[in-house]
Amino acid sequence: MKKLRKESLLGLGFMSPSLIIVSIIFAFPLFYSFRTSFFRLNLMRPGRTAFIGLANYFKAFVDERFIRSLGVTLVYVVVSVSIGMVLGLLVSVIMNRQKYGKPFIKGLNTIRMILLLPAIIAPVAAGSVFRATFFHYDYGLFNYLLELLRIPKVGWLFAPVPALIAVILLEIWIRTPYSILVFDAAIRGLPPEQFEAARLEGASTLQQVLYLTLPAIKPQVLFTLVLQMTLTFRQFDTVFMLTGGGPGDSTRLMTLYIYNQAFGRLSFGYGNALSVIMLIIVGVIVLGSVKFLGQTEEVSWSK
Amino acid sequence: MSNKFKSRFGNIVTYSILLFTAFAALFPFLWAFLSSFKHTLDITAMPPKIIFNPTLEHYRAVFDSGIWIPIYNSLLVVLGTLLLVFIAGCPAAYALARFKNKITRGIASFVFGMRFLPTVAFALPLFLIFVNMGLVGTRIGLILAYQMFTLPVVLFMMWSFFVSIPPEIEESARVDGCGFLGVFFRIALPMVAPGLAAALIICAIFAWNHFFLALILGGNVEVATMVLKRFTGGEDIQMQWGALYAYSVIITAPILILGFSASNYLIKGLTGEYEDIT
Repeated sequence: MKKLRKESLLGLGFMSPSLIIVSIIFAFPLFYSFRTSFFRLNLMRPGRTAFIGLANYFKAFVDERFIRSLGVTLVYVVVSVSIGMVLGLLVSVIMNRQKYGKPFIKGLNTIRMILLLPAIIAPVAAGSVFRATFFHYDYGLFNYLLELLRIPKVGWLFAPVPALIAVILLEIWIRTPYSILVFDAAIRGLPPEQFEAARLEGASTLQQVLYLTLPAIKPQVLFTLVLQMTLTFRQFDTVFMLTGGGPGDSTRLMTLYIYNQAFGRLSFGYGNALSVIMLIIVGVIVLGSVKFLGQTEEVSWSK
Repeated sequence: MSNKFKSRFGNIVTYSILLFTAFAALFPFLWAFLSSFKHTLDITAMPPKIIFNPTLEHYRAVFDSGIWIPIYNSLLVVLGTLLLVFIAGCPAAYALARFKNKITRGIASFVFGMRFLPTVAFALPLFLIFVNMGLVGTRIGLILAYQMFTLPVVLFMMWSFFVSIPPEIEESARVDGCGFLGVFFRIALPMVAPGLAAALIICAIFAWNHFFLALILGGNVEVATMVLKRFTGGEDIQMQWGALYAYSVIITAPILILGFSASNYLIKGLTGEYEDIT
């Protein structure tokens, strides 16, 4: 008993710096956000601050722009994450083809280093460079290629659907290399014996991938899926740089809408209500996908 | 014959996919790097000019526009973030690895939540709290706020390193009269030094790149970091592509140097292959 007490105290002591930081920047804001969402709080009209109960939430449910931003966010997340995951699996399986009794790939370490690049650069820099290099109407490379193919130019950032495609393309470019690296590391670590045994039994490459590789790397796939979904859900930088949410509201993700409401119009009460709604949505998605996909698997969240 | 053809065809497909992937990942970097040395007219020339007369005018323009203050701010904020995350994260990770009780688990789960929940959803209350504490527009405020994404990295990476230390080593040190603190500082911490380096490099990159919290909490000129300076400068960036490319190269260079000098650690750290690092 005494030892346990001492352990608790030591543990608490060692954790106290973290505890203080987490309280200031996370726990207290969480509480504060929740509380403020029940108030009318506009910094431009401080005199009108008042408790208004659930009014901010009711407002959100009939706020067409917010509902649309929710829709845009869902499309953005579902399309970019699913394409990214499929590409990630495809490329990582190919990178490790020696597992299926094929010759080694040359220059793998170089490819890994190159794949590291999009994962570690500043998203705002990527956004600005993509905006100029690829998506510019007159001087962008995409329109240049279209012209070469004699296809009419596309106003990548000036038309709703192309703008959404543009921000999704950038998201895929930024996120997929990370998935590839994670899956590559996972597949590389699999013991080769079971693949050899499967081949002796006459299993095709596709069968080895489907029945051996995929089940074996399921924890990493699940982890990456949840991580990529949450990261894509909260993306702000790249869209802010590329389109700023426009044209109209066609690429205005929830994050940008909340930012506009709070820091553009200074309506913090409403902005906080939207934040709480977003937290709940993300929380449900994370827990839901863990429950649905994880089932009995032990997933190491430390990764 | 047909088998040979099949394997050659497979080879071509395999290598084309990999080459295309690598090319797609690398191309924007190459393009920005080359363009930053082109004369303004050459940058937008179609078809693109591969061979051109290099110039440093864009770099000169960027440095003339007062880039040293943002560089200084970014460096200070990154170093401060690393210091704070080291002080807060390492002992916490050690406690988490050695004591499995409700307190350590509870705090850890909060840090875990910080990693997965959207930053924007905390930005508003954080801003209001920072206004009250006088931390808006200060480097200290940014350093504190940046723990939101660095603390989870350090806590969970270091935790898995500390767990992997064989218990006999620490026990024998304790038999020799080393206290809990002594074991932590003299035995455990030095043993996981490579892992600590990997974790801090990842944090440094995240902190150097981070935009959103800097945008809302550090938005004045004196403390503006690199990410804020050019990219939200209000100037029409399309008019100055050369400067944009040069600036992107400058902001990316430290990360690439850091990234490549430790690319093995970095890949393993980012992909969660922690066992191989220490």
